[in-house]
Amino acid sequence: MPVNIKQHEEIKPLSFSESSILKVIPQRFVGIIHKYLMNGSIEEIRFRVNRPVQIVGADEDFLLTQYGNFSITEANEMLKAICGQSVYAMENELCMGFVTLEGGARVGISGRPLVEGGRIIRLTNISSFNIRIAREAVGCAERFADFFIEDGRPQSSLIISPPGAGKTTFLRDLARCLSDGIGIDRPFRVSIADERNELSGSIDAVPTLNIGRRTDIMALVPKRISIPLLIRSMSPDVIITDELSGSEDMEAVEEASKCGVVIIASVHASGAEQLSKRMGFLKAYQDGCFPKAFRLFRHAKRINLVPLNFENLF
Amino acid sequence: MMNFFAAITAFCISFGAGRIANERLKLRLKAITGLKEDFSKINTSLKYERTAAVKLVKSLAVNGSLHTFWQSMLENLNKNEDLYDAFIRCKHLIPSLTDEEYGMLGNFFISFGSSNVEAELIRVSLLYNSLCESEAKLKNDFMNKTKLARTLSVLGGIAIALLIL
Repeated sequence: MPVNIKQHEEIKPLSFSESSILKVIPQRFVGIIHKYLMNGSIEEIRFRVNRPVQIVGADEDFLLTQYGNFSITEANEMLKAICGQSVYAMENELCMGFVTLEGGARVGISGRPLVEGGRIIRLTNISSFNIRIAREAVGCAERFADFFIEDGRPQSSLIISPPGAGKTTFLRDLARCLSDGIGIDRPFRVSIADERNELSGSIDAVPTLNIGRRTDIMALVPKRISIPLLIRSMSPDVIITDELSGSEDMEAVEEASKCGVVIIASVHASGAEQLSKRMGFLKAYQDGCFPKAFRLFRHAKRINLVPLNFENLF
Repeated sequence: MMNFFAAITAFCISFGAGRIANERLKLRLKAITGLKEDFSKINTSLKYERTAAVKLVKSLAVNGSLHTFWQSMLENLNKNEDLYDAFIRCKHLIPSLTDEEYGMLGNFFISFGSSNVEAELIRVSLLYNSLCESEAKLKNDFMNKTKLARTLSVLGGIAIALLIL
């Protein structure tokens, strides 16, 4: 049974990102999800074909069983709505497994991929959607902005945390701080390699989230393509990117370091020890790509950052 | 005297009917040609930019041949309707099409946007080719039917006038 909407929590107006979620979900769920969004405590909404809708909150998780199962027809209609009536225009994103809605909410998509030559060329029979609600926390990085500056220059840094701790939210606000010179002595030229379009929530390459006035973005392109391109075309002081993962990402970071470009990136890991087991990061550290590293965590609903020492680990 | 006026009135009515039939043909030709031009733009945008449906409609609302129709489509799409529902609400803005042609457009809008770009381009090409065929046929008929309508209306008018007189 779904838990009751908390009455004691403050009812807030819907953000642009939350309103855009209501535009793409099946009509029969709009009322209830609107209520939960206004309540402000949900983080994800999961739709699975032939199963009830799942609401994931910070502390709770429940199924909307009283609304019945999410049907295949609804899944097809939802896919079309998510793609703005144009699945063909979102083929790249679908192959990457997600589509970003207006305002930055990310819809993870799962189905049957068609693979050709080792790469996904199409995603068919879509069966699951995971809508992650994007929340801007303007100001969350202000008190940490000077952690990333040394001798008046930004320093390449790695931000480590497990999923859901707020890396993307933090990086977005850090981009704003560095770009607008908030919490530091002077502003810098910032570029964002936004592979998943979560940092900027761009629509037609124009950011919808506050990422600063001196920030350029390249969204929905793999980092190995966008980082060199940003260096060539935008000559940034610092490049910010989210969720480094494969060896290709690390190679792009290493190349950027060789060009003297500062990279601030986040990575999924519960701690430095876990990270040290990943070969790409070991090499990046040995090559001096990341002189600084921080562990990000939430405490009392606030984002916190503590410096990490890699020396003892590698 | 009365007969004379009745004859003139009958002639004018017959001539007017001919003109109306002629105008309908013209309107139909204009609608088909306009649709053909707009779908050619859609084809180009899809091919080179993979422009999303709403953006396509937005651009046609500004510079499309049938911009009134596309403007209304855009208004309905902005109300969160899908392409087919929006088309059903706006189809009256493309007058003089046959039921078959409305059906063809409806079938296009019901499935447009649900597949990959290659499939969509094929769909657009099929519709475009049908519109080209309709236009060619109409243009052929247009001259003949215009002449016929004009001649019949004048001759018919004279005949009725003579009968009255």
